[in-house]
Amino acid sequence: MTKRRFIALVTFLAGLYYFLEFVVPPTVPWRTVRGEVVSVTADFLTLRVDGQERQILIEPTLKVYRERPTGAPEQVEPSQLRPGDHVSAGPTTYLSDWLTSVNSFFIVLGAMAWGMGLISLAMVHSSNIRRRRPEWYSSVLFFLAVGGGIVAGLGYGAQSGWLKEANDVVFNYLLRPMSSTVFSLLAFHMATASYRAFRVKSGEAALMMTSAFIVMLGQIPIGLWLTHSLPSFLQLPVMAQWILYIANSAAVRGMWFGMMVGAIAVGLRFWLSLERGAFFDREL
Amino acid sequence: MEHANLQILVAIVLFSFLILWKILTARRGKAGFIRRIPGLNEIDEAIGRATEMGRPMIFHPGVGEVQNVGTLAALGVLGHVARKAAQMGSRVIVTTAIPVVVPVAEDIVKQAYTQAGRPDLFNAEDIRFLAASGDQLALATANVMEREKTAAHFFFGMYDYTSLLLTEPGQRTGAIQIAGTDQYFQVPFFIASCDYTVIGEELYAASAYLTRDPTMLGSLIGQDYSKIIVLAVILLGALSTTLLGSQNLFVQLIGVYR
Repeated sequence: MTKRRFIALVTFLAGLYYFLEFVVPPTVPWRTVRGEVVSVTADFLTLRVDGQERQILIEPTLKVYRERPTGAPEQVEPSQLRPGDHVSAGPTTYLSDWLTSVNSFFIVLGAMAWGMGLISLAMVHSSNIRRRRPEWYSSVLFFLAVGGGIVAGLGYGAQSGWLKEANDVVFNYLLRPMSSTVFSLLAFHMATASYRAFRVKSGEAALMMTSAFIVMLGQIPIGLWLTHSLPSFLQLPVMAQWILYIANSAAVRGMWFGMMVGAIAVGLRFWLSLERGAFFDREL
Repeated sequence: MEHANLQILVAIVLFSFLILWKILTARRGKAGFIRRIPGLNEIDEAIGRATEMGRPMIFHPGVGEVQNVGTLAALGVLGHVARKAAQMGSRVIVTTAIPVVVPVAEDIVKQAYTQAGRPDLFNAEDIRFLAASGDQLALATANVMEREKTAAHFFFGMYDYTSLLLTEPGQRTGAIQIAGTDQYFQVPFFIASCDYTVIGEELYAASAYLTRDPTMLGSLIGQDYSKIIVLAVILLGALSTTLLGSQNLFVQLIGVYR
């Protein structure tokens, strides 16, 4: 019980930090000044606010956010500012300053998990060898490959020498082409999956096949050639564009709204340790 | 890092309030009705079929990190699959490319077998970290399907292009395949190569649907109330913009163009 409560407490505190970091503005709102940059010196930042110039003392706690052309803010140092930039400047609320450190902590935790992954693999393969399961020799190869991979990894970044050669052979001449080969299998998988999908077994399948047929033909010149004499709204490229950008967009946006609200609900349940069964065998 | 503006803050607080309120209501015994989701209904059927055939099942929790919402939802489904498999005395193999998922999945499966009174059936070797990248994992998982002659495959969570690399070899083994993802680009591939597909937010509803736990059900109903609000805002925004132009009070209030 103590362990569960401890996990719940740590989960809550970690979630609370990220929640507050998101909702609390990066600078103290009532002391934040928004305006256009007039000049920047080593000590002062001068902004034009509502037609009047206002000087702001550059202190270590001052955070400056410049408006990008898209309207989204980016944090910059005062020395990076140019006259005419639109900025907001104010004392930090500190939460965003710790973000990099907190993220680094989770990266370290994640790195430790790689050890667990390796242990899991070692358990499976050593058991295969011990019990002489079918193809147990593949498991011997696994241990040889891990050893070889670790040695080859030492050559990462080396300019010359046998370690660099080993790194090139393992990662560039073996792994990369093999990954490309696996990726190329997708083309064949897509063909077989499409064949199955295009068999009309129900009303929905017929609808899917018809829309796929229109979109496919609408993307290639033959689609226009076949329908160029029809009114424009019956031409295949126009119909394909309508399916892709009107009908499809509406469906996808509907899905997105649902997923985002769902993500908030799942996030809340985990944050407040309300999720039962996954990490706790009963509610806290 | 992005920060919430006032409108987002109000939306988050409102949605969170609705979800928590409905959870508390459901915990007091007022759980509501949720519609039938065929893909999730078939999970028990697939487990039963695998048990009858005396073959194991594969559960693949996607390629997302453990903090990914889709992965968290998938782990909830894993809990249900493992519990059912344990009750029927069947075996579940979990394959993943994410090392952090290994101890979490191990804990979930172990707990399920222990609760079902069959701790002897739990085998830590069935929770397998097979490769560090998605395409290698797909190949390795396909190999497990062939070698172990698995009878049911569950693919739940976040997926990338490897979805088809996993499900097509699975389709050829003749196993029943059920998939669910919140990545809508992968949904067509799952529909084409799986027997049942759970789409988008249904993945997040899966735990609630399968466990019928009041907390989960309440959360699901809270989500629906939140969606009604989103829908109302969209309708009001569209109507007011059509009738009054883009600078009307409602549009300015919700800050669409800010």
